[in-house]
Amino acid sequence: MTDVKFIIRTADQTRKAEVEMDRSSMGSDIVQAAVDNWALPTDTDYSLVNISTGKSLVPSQLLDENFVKPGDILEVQPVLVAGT
Amino acid sequence: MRWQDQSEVPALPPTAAFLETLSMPDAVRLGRLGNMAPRVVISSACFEAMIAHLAASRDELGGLLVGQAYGVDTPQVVAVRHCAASTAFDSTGVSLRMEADVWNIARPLLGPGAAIVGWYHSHPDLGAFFSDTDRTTQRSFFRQAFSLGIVIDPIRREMRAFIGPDCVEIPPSNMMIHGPSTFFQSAAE
Repeated sequence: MTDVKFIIRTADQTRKAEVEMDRSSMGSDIVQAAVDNWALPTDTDYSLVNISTGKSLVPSQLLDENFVKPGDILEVQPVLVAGT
Repeated sequence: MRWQDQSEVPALPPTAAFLETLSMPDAVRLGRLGNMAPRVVISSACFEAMIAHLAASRDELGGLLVGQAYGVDTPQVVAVRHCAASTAFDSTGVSLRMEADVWNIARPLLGPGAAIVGWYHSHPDLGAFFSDTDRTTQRSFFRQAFSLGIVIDPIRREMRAFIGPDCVEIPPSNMMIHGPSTFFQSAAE
């Protein structure tokens, strides 16, 4: 499999990384890498969106050319919770 | 996998850049509060939109705040210019889960001089305070020194704001609404 190089960032755009991953990787691998590298909470639900195309990537989605092209910007978006 | 972090600590514009947008009396008023805590200046259009949004339900509602923080070493002013209301959510009178799409709603509002500066939500008839859950969310996803968390009780007409990952409360006297006539008023009044 070939690698694809893309940009990953947090939804508030305060963290950014250039990432190169095998195209056999899945959306969940990207989210996990962001959680690991940026010490994001593990008990949170995240969505992954390709900002360049506007498409969401589900956890099982492979990084094939239909979903991630070189140079695309992907965003890890947390679900926010509040409560009393 | 190769991971090359490119994160940068955002450099804030000086407070003078914000003061220059105000009339002289308003700028003087902003600096004359008698404390060094950050000032929170919410545009009247944003404030009215937030109130209208949160008053629409007796269940909790919320969204994101877009604006600009100012200050060289520490945030001295946080200007809130827009709110992005969450439209995909699950909520009750005591809980709120905002789906990730709220970030997509806020993104078109971002650009040069406009960033995510925090989040807001309601506590209908419960009073405006930060719960343990609220603090965890603030600490987890609003980690900048200027990040705001605003809580509004639209029924009791209360509002509190908390800043930074440690959720330090902003004195009510430091919260202001900035209207088109550049009239300031304390949000606590």
